[in-house]
Amino acid sequence: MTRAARAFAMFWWDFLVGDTPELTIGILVALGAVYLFPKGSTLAGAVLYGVVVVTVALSLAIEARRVAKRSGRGG
Amino acid sequence: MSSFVLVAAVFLASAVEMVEALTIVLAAGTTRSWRSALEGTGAAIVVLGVLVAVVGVPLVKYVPISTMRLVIGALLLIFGLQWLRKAILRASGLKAMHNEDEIYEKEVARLGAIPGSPSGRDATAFTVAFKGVFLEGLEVVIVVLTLGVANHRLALAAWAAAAAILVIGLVGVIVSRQLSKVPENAMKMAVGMMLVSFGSFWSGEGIGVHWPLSDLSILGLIALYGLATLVMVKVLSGVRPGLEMAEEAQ
Repeated sequence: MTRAARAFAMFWWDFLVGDTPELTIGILVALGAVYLFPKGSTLAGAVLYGVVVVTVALSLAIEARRVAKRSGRGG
Repeated sequence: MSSFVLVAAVFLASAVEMVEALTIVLAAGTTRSWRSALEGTGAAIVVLGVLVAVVGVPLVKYVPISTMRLVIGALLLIFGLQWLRKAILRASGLKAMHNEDEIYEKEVARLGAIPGSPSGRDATAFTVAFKGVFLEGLEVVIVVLTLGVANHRLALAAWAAAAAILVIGLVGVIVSRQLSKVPENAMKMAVGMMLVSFGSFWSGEGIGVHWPLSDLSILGLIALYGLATLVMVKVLSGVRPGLEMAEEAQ
């Protein structure tokens, strides 16, 4: 039973966080920022889009840096 | 309009996952036993179908739509961004492409080394096919549940997934081992953009965002995320030659 619960928790952890925690954090930040806007705001949608794009760009930059480190360029 | 996008997203996501599952089933069928591999595939599809009905129907009936859209939208955003990120890295050359031929050859070599069973049925073929289809299918179940439940069109999403399974299954039988010809990364990128767009729309709606043009905004979001994706692929493709030169210099 405990093993099944652990496996279930691990599945969700891998699914939601895995090796890209920055994406999960970015989404939470995006939704938190949108929550601060008044209900019915159109600008909030633009903010959501902007934070999501910045999040994925940041995650890609992290990966590019990892690749650069592996190839001996970065540091 | 959003029904069309919903069907397209579920169909493409299911097709991509089916290509990966089919590679495993083909390897198990060719090297071990077709009968057992197909039985394993069938059993996994039945279990996945039951999962959709058991989890999906109560969600549609009992959970308030705004709460569900917020939670499901956030899940779709995370899931979609993971797909999109991987597809951008592959398209720009920073990550190796998924090679179904290579995976197939490795799986055939691995399965061929396991001793066969004296009876007609082959437990290895059944288990490998079941596990492959079930694990790849779980992602399809998540896409069907999230898109179907949040849109209150669970049956439509399930039918789109079933159609993809059927089409890829038939194509797999016809082209057999030429699965590497399927433009998997482009499909994954398109699905990633759609999932992120649906995720933004629904999580936004759940949290009180006003989307101009209502459901049509999903198409606008797909276009905007598509544009951002193109820019990111272009920028990262420009970074890659420098990295390759540094690797060669070592």
